[in-house]
Amino acid sequence: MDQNDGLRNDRSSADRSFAREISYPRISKEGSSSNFSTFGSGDENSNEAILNSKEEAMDTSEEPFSPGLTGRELPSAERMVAMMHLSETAPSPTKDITRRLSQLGGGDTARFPGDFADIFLRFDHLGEEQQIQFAQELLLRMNQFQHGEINSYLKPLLKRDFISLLSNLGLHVLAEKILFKLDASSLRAAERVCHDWSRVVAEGQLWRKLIENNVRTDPLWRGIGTRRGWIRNLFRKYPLPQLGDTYYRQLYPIITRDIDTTERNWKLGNFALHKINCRSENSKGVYCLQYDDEKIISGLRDNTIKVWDRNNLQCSQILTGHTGSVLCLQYDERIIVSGSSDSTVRVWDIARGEMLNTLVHHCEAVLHVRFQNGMMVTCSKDRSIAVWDMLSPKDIALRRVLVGHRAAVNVVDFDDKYIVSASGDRTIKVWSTSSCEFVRTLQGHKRGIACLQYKERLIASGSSDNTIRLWDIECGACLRVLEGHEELVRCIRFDNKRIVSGAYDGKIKIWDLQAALNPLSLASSLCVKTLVEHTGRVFRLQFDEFQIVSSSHDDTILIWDFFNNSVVTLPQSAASGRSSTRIDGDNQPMALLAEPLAR
Amino acid sequence: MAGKVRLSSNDNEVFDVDLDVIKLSGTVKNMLDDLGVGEGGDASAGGDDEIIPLPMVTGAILKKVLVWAEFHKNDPVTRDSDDDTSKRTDDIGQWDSEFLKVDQGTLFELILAANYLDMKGLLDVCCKTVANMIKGKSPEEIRRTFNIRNDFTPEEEEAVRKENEWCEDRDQTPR
Repeated sequence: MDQNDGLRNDRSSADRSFAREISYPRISKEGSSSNFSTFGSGDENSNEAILNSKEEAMDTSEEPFSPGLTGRELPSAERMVAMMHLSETAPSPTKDITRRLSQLGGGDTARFPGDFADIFLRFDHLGEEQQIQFAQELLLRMNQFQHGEINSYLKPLLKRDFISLLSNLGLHVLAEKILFKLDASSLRAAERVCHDWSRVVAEGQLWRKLIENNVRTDPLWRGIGTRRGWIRNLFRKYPLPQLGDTYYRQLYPIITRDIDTTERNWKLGNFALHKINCRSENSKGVYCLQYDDEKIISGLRDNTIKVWDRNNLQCSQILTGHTGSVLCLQYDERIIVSGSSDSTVRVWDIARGEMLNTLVHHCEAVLHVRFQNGMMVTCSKDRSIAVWDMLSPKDIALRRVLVGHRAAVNVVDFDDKYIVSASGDRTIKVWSTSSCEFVRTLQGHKRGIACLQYKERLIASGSSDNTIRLWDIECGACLRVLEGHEELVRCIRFDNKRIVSGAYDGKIKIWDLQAALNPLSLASSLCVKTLVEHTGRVFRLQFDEFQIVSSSHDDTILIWDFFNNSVVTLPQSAASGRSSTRIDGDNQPMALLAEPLAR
Repeated sequence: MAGKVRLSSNDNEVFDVDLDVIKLSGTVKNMLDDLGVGEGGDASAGGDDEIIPLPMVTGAILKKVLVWAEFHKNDPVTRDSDDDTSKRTDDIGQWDSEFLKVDQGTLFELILAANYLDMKGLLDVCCKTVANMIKGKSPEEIRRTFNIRNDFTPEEEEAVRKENEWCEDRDQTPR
């Protein structure tokens, strides 16, 4: 104790500046005394100083025995270390970096009195543990101010520029792997850090990969890519040489702007309306529909199924055979399945339009049909539900009949866990898909239930009591009652963001699903928009990120398009200045204009 | 009981490691397969004191790597593609995030070691940790975090600023 104090007291101010020189030998070499005066005044300055000396150290490390460094009487400790490493057959990159960093501050041991060289040599021969203990001993002999200085010197030494270091070691893949985890705004910040980072972002094509990732995971991105045409510049086996990093970097904000506009259009109710008038001759009305990018298939009150071409909105095919109204339908790539008030279920070949099968089972109107993965469920006014095995369009066998509802079963939906049905008896019933056993009844609606969708844990149902209810299928609890419709809610669909419902008064309402699932939301904030265009009961609707397609008793099908239809100029590619050579057929010229939507 | 393997670091530290721990390293597993040591076999079968040299890893880092492998030896095998396409970085387990509370130098060496040893799980969690150190920061904050010098000329900075201004400007273009 006394001894230590004595040591401290003995230290002269000259000794102290000596200690400083150990920390910043390079600075003193440059002869800028001002660095000494601002010494330790703030992190910024010391960082700067170390960065400068780091550069110098890095430069010399390329040639450890350059003439500029020779001619000293004694070899420096660092150079000896460097020699040892160089003599190794396979120097590890780790050591290389450690060595470079170890040269930052030390190095110039020649500035100490001659007998110090011996101390450094001895130090080098100590084991790692002992070297640490030795340094600890030295630290104990210094005062708090000095500790602070050493700390601010040590801190940046412990930092690593991961991206530049990995890239300079040839491990670009790892640098890109880290930056791939970033979101757009962080990526934009990262490429502005320094040249090395900017190069990794560009060479790793990280903007293209970010866009591709979004397109892969978000249908909104995929839809915009298809509509704007830039999707053809993604997911290529051989990247287009003239579409460099710049193209994708500039494309990104153009896409997010399209997304913002589309979302705003949904909120404000800005849409382009396209109308199909079915011009049915006898009984008018469109009971059901389903659509994709090319076509809309609809089931009509006049007993026909009509296929509409989305390019010109003309009827391209009429399927006849049902002897009653077509109340429900679903199609996939191969077949259409339809249910009718003639009590039958019919299966059609979608390409040729011919009828493949007729299932006569229900004894009253078939009100709804769903099929997937070789299984089909139908429900009927006869109060029963039928579960079918679909081996092929022509080989469909009845597996089980589910009874329990006390009135017409208006709608069914299912996945591989549950079958869900809703009835005029005011109840929703849940059944096990694998065993077909009854699971539970959901009660709450005050009148019959007309429509329902079920996905993951959520059920949304619409009723003759003019309300919509959201349910948790697992516990059977009603999560929310949506009030606003003034007549029977006839159709309902939801995705992750919205619920869209149609009612007998011709009105379609858009609801904020996420807000509706939050118990704290005010009931008045849940209905985003009410769309009034239909002049009769809304029978059926379907929607996606960009549009709603609805059908009505008024004999029309309406397409409500919320996409940003203004023309957008895509970024020019790197080759735009030169004459562009076309690589292959679908390689587009430079300024890609969005194709006008032909509707 | 599973057999043991002897590993030696580049500073000649020797570790006796359980086979079911070191199997997390694709590199070591391949070396063992080449030596004819299979699952549940014993490394000493091929010769009593066979030592596997790992010349790219220091003893201090290898020690940490083995601690990680010991904790994760019973993890279910995940499909390779899962983490490469996932942008998630908020799914680091509590043990891992404690384990990776180290200085940047150590984290950097863990990345190099995990890469060399072909330990995908460790590499992923290290890369996520670095990504989390970058996320949400401005360029200047990133530089400060990793002690990086801004080597852009004022002209280059101006060019980048203009380019981003163009983006933001377009953002406000009314429909």
